[in-house]
Amino acid sequence: MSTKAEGRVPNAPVGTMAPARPGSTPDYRSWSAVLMVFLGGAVGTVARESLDLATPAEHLVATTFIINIVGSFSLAVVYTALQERKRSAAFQRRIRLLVGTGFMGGFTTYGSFAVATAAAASRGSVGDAALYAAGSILLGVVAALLGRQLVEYIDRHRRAVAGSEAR
Amino acid sequence: MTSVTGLTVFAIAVAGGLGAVARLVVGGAVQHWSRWKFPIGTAVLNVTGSFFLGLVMSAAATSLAPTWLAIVGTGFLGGFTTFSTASVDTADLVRGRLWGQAALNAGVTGLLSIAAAGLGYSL
Repeated sequence: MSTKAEGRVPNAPVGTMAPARPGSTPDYRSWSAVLMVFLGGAVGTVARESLDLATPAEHLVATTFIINIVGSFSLAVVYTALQERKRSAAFQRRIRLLVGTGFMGGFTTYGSFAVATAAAASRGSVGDAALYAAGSILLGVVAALLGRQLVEYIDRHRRAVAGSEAR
Repeated sequence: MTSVTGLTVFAIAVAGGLGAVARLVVGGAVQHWSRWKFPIGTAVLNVTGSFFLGLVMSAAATSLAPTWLAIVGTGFLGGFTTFSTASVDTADLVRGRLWGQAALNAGVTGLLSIAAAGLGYSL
């Protein structure tokens, strides 16, 4: 892939909103995608379960929170790194499905977050529940924004250094 | 904390992998059928997954064995729902200055998921 106006071409995002490559089988109907997502998802789930088991029951909510924030940041880093670096489409797809959809998707969890919030609200601590819900969602988005921005910043810096050395 | 055997960990891994595959297939199909740019697929997964996790947690409080809670809840439904993709989708909507859609994806999906979890738990 060659880009003419370097760095100025707005990259299509890698992720849910990325357009499928024309003429290719969509991932949700592809057996190779199923296999990669299965492997990544299995490892991600065991990683989450291991952290849950290492946590005393009363701090489980905090573990879920940290997993979700760290996972949001990491997924943004992976996706941004994939779209910024000029690797083959096949390599990008493999990493996206194995690490992104698979591992990070299996590692983070929306269900535990929602159930923990609903449970807190039903126990009467509605304020705590609202704080936990809003905090998780907002910090997750901020973490994803930071992840995208961090990789873009590093790549801009790298290109600038490479450009000045070439001169 | 309960003791977890190697077999249980293996079962959780397989269940998590299957949950992730179900997420890929269902989320992809919903996204495709909707013909929307808005990430509706992930939102649908998270709301339905939260409902079923609520249901499983409520069953675990009465009849379901802890091992099965771990396999179905932590494993399958944990792998099925995802927080990271929801966050990155909302972040991308924010970066695209689609404020309304960003608020919809973060706020409405969040509220619906919590309500669905509560509903599942109360059944």
